[in-house]
Amino acid sequence: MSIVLIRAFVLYIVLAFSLRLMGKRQLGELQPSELVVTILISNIAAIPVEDSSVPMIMGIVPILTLVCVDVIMSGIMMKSTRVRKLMIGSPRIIISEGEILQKEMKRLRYTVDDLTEAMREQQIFDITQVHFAIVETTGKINFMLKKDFQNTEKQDVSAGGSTQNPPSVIIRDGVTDEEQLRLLGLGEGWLKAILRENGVSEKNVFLLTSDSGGKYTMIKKAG
Amino acid sequence: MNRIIMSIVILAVMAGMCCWSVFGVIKKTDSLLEKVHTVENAFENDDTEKCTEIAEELQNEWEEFMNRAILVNDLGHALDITSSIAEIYSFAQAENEELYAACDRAEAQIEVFKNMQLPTLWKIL
Repeated sequence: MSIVLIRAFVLYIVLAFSLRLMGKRQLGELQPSELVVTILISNIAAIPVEDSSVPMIMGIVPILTLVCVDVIMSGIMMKSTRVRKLMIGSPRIIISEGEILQKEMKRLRYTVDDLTEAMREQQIFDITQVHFAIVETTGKINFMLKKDFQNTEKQDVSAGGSTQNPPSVIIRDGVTDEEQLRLLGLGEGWLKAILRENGVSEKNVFLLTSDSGGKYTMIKKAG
Repeated sequence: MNRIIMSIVILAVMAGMCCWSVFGVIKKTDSLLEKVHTVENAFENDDTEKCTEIAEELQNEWEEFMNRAILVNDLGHALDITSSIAEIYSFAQAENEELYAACDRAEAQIEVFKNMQLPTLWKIL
């Protein structure tokens, strides 16, 4: 019994260290790969605690391997947009300017029930109130209401705002998202003009967001 | 960035430890197998003194190794080898013919113990 007690204590320390290494995230915010790792870790940790004939190292090694690979992958994803898209996908718009993009919903295997349930969770009960909805990589759906249905507080925030789609990321870390540019209806000419106006090249832009009206925000790379 | 570096270091240390454990187990089990053969040969040549001496050495070597071996291998399997090696020693002392069977059993168990450490594609799959 004392063996089980000590093993459980050691594994607790290993798990606490592993989760600390993975970083702070709430359960609902976990990316698919992180969720898989978290579930696997909990199962692996149980084996050496339940069966004292199994060496404890057989639990510690896979736990640390999974966590370390996950951390390294997240580092690679931070540097490479391609790997990030491959591993976690990208946010997908399912309602644009009040119109449900049925094709996109089918592609994501989202039903109308999923959509309405997500709406209700955010206190939205009428689909006609929704101006814009986006499925995040975590699977969470975020909504933007039409201007007429936004509450006072939100109206204050978006005072003078348009009914255009909210800003989308055009350049992230020096790489242009051509698809977003096309979806916003802004051509390459517009992008070139913006860059010329600010005297920067694409590679020197850390973040460029714009709405479909061409109202943009640019953050240049530091250093 | 610190996390990534730490992860790379941990992975490298674990990979190193895995290689070290594989080579360590192979080296030690080969030495144990050689001793089992020597015990068997000595018994066959009626050299009881040498047979008992090597059997005792074999037992001591295994007991010393087992404390570390159970870090990387199943305890149940290690205990099977312990009982077989103990039998070899007692049969050697008693000059019992069953020593041959005990040696064969120990050999087979040590071989399995050794093979369990080798990461072959077959085992990974």
